Amino acid sequence: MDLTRHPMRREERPRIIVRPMHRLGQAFATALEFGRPSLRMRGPGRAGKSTAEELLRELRAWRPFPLGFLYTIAGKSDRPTEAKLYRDLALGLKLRQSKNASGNEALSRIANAVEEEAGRACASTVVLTIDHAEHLTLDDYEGLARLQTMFARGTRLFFLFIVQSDASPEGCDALEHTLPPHIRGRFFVDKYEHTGLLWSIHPDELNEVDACDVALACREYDNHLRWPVKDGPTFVEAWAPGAYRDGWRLESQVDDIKRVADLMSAGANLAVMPDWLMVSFEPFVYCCLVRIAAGKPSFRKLKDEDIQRALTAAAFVAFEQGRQRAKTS
Amino acid sequence: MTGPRYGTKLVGNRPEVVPAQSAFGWLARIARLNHFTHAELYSVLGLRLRRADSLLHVLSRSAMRQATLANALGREPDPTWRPEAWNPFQGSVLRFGGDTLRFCPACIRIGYHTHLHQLPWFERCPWHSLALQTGCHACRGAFAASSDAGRPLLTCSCGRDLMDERLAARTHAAPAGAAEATAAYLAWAAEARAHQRLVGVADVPLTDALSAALIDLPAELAAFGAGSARGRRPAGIAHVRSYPECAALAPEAGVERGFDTLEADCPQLLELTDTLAPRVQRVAVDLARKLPSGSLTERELLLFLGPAGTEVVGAGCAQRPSSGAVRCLPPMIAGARRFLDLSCVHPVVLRAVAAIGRAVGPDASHGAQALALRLQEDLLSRGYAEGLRAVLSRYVPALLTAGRDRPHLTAAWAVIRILPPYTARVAFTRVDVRAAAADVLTAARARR
Repeated sequence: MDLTRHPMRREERPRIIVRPMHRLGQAFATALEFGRPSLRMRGPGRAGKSTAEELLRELRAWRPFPLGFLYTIAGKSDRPTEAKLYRDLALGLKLRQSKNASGNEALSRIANAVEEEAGRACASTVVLTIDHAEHLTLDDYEGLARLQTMFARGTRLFFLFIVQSDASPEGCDALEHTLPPHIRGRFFVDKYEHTGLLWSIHPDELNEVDACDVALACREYDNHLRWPVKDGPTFVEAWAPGAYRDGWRLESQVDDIKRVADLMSAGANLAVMPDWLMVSFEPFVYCCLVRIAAGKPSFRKLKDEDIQRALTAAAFVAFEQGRQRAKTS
Repeated sequence: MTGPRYGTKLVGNRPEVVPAQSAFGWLARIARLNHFTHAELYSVLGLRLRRADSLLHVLSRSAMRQATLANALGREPDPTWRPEAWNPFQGSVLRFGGDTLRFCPACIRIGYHTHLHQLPWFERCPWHSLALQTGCHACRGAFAASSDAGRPLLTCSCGRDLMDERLAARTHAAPAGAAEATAAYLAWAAEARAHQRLVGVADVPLTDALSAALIDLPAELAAFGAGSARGRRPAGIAHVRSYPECAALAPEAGVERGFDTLEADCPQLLELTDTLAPRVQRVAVDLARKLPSGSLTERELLLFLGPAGTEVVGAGCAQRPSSGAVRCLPPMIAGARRFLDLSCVHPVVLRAVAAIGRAVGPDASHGAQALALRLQEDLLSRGYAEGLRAVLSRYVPALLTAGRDRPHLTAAWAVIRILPPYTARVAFTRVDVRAAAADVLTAARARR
């Protein structure tokens, strides 16, 4: 089988749907169903928050009703003003505008963009995702409240704040306790803690799933992702056909992977974390399949050295150091 | 997922919602939904405009601005932004609908304006069946179509706003039937343009009423046409004449082309062809017979009535010196040839006759040339009759109160089909001789 054009070799490799995304979808749908005005999605950097939100936008099954989506990024300003907030939001929405557009113009522009998205999606609710929301200040939230109030009738504007919980030493929601009730009630009621892939089954899902997030993610490559046709070989089968025939699966080595990862963390003086950041999980799988198993008829399973090599290539330790604010040697 | 680059997205930039949207429609929609000021039309869209410019006018005529707008919208310039694409004919006056904003109230509400609404031969929107409007029905004011109005585009000074921004932004589909109707019209117009010629003279502007009288819309759109489609003559039109298929209009053996002399700047004499001479003579005779007794001198009567005039001579002749100007009016005979002094035919008529010859051309098919010749003869005969009345009214004041025969001048615009079936439609409009045509005459004499 010619694997030169296999999706794993592409610049943008296929993304899989993992359990943290399911949990986000459930929290999201609940907040929408109960008529809440916003949801705060918090999580450490590189855990896959933005990617999870992006994938959810493409999926429909989780939506309680038709939804429109807009995505923007909060800017960080030394002197936050309402005009600057709206200009930043409009820029994040990729809207074309002049550098000195007034706040009201930018606000109207955003409002029309929201209406347009509602029309495009045939929906009455539009989700405005604000990434890097940890940069928002009290004045910014006042501005967002004004924007939301513009849609009191006809269209519902729902805010999804993506907040990096470890962005600042004082915490991302340190502002919460200083906010007036009308802001706190709007934007700080519903919170969802996003994680990487958990090494153990989530307590709420004990009756729902039979394996942890990491194992389920590996199962996607073992059983579900196929190429070139829907009933073609799975990714693991394509890259390690001999081992796959013998019954080897990536999922079967989750315990080995966990053990090696823990050893590497301990070796770098890092705490063992309950989850695996998505940013290093996918390159790990890539390295295992494309660099280690591929082209080796003798490959039967991942040895510890292989796992360590793949974890090193995926910068597992470096990302954990970043998350745990550890000093690098 | 690769999205658009930063700073490239414009609210309202959704071509699927506004099929065949005009360039002005795009600008108005984008400017309103993005709240662009005049300065931002340049700084953001790159459109260099003067504040006083009518955006409708500029964007329908300036290819460079159309290209700039298309670039700002991230696509190629739309061929339908050129008014020519909507004309069902070729001709000297190619651009319609660039002066006054004309709109369907239901379409413009969602920021949709297509050039089809500008076409004077449409009276109602083909998909909404609403009457097309040109101004504010509340105050009869004009809606803002330029940046210096001091108010947003498409708003009236009385406060009325044609566009509902929220609705325009939310609209997710084109009005039902709009895409089909515009596509059907454009296809029909392209096909008609290949074989229809619009002919007229620049001295007489082609008004909306004239053009509406000339165009026969296809059957599926005829119900939305102006006037002619429903047997009603548009206001300002003196007469409309249709010419049927021309196969029986002229003998197969060649078409005599006798109007080449009219191509000169100031033609003086026209040698009449065998077919035209009796018609011109008949015009002179008919008018002479209608004049009150004692209007013409004996000599003038003989010239007007020809051999038949000998019977009436003496019955009632004018007792004044015979006028040289009047004696030049009837066709002149020189042996077997007959000539017409063109000084009594208004230059507007002569130019129209010459224009028909140019529009059809010597390379056209026999049928087309026969039709053109028929048109030319009719126009010249009509122009000659009008010229006779104008000159004679100075000697016969009774003509000034003679009802249909009182002096007047009409100018013609025609649409000629140069492929089988050969048909033509001519619309005549009255011209104020003293105001318009006299100026042209004066100018022509000055050049002589």
